[in-house]
Amino acid sequence: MSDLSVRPWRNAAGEMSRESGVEKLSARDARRPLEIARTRLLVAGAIFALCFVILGGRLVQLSLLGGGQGKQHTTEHQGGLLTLQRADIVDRNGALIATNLPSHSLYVNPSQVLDAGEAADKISRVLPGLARDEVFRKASAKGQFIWIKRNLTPEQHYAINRLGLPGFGFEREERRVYPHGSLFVHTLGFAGIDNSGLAGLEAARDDQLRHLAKTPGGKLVTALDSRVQHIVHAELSAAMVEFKAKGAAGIVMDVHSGEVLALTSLPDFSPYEINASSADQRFNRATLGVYELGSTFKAFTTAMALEYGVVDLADRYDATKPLKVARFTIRDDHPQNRWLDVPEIFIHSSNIGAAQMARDVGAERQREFLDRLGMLSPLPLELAENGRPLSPRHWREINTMTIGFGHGIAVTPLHLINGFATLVNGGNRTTPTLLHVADKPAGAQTGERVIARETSDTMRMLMRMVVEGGTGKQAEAEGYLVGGKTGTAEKATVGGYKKNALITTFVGAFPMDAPRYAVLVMLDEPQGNKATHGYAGAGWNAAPVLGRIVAKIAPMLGVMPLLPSDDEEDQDQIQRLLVRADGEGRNFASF
Amino acid sequence: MIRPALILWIGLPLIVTIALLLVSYQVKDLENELAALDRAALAQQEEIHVLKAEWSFLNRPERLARLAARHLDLGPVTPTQFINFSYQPIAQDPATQGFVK
Repeated sequence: MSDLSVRPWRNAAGEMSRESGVEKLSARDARRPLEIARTRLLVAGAIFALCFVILGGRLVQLSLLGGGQGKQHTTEHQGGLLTLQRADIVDRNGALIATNLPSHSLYVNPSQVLDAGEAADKISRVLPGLARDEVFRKASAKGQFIWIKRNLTPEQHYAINRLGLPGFGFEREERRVYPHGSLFVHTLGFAGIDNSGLAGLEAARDDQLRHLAKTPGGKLVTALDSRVQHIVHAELSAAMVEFKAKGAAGIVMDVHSGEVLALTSLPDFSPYEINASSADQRFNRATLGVYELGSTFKAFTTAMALEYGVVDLADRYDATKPLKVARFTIRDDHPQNRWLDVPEIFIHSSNIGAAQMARDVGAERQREFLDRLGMLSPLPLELAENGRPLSPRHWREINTMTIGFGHGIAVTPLHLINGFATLVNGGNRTTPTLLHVADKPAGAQTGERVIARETSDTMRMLMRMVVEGGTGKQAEAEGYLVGGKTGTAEKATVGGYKKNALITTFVGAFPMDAPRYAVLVMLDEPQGNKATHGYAGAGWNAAPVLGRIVAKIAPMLGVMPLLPSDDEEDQDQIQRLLVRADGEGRNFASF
Repeated sequence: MIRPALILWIGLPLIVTIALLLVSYQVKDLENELAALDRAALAQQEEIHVLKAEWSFLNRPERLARLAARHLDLGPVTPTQFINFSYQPIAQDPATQGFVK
């Protein structure tokens, strides 16, 4: 109100002044409105100019400098590369062992289905595995989206498309495919229907596989060799039948890099029918199962005693009668009933001798030695299934003695072969891996030294003697200088051992003059048969299987055979290097 | 009288508009072509991917062994079959205590 009352007064005053003195209007007063207009025009002009400069600048930026959305638009088109949810896995030679394949899954939108009965008839005819009633129930259910069948084959996809049923549609999905079927199932594991790794390498390297899938050509290169894997798998399968074994495990490992070329656990299962498999089939005997592996541990005992200088090869132990310690009696399976020297203890697999050797080394040093070999903790293999070894909490003298011949400690077969790789490769600790290790210069060793080179050399010769004239004769693969150690152990049960349930193992390496690969064969409860004269020991089943495996894989792995030649000098060399172990004729002068 | 400047100022936008229209159609065509090529490339890649899987499936060592046993008179290599240029009389390597072949 006050405004209104003031304004007329002002106007009146202004008019009054104009009326009263027009001539008195100074030139300055007359120019004022003009100046105001000009200033306003200038400001407006400046604002507009600024706007145009901004617009122009943006135009230049977009068109000439190529910023903004336009560029992204083009790269989107250029990047027409196939990307999958999960990267491929290949073996060391580049053979595809796991991949994602595009597939189509059938769903139904029941609200759009015209005749559920007819649709169910037609679909169950095209997909014989599908019950008609189930399709009918789904097609007449309430809802917008119900899966009928995931991952159709291309033929099924085409056939259903041809039916032209309203309400049925396809969703593009990806399916994990293992071209080799169950061959690698215990190493690769498997991925679920939503492409997440559920077991094995697929689970252990799940994130990496998803990440690799985003980069063009990204794939996981493993250390596995499908040829070697096939041979190990085939030979173990045959052995399971031949010896009526409950299970088997086989591993081939590079003794220098620790790369696992083959790893099999039988029985196995199809990665596509996981629900149909039993717990026993899914159980990885090679990496998850821990077993008392018996006499194979004598290799560690011998190496340890030699390494600590407790014995030398000429030292002898009394093996004339069973050894009584507290309330235990230690017996030999192949009693010689005489004093045995260190190589004889190893070759004839004397429990009595090994127990005494271990006792002489002592509990503390034995524990430390086994720990350095990695025998007391889980191994870092890239699997979801890694077993934890069982060892005594209180390491008493009796434990020391039984562990000396492989009882009272339970490790996975992978632990065992890894320890053997260290014993024969010159003494450097190995770490098993499923991933391909970039080629290192020959002889380059990175692992921590566990035993001296000399001890490793001696162990190689002792292992070779086991095959030349000891318990492992049948492991021989002509020309490839196999060496190793047998182990036959009764399975532990509650309160004792099962007499007729054996775990037989042969673990070794080849060629023994310069070992390259370690091999392990383990059979779970093998039975004797006519060919083995009823014997079920490792020398009768695990050893010959290993020999057959080596004879087949060695040529593939580029190991040159070394055959006795007519050349006398050659014979001399072989003799000097590989001590003959045929009973009386043994010659230790060469050690 | 129509001044030349006016003709210029009316004509220029007209030409620019028409040119822009033509270019935009051209771009659209090219984009369609690009998208089609992309789709084709993607389909081809997918096909190659599937073929690779099939190749690996057909090259299963188990299958090759079966086929070789049926059609070829071949068996595992025996040590006596090896002849190699580098396979010479053995020489002792003092460093490794092993053989130099």
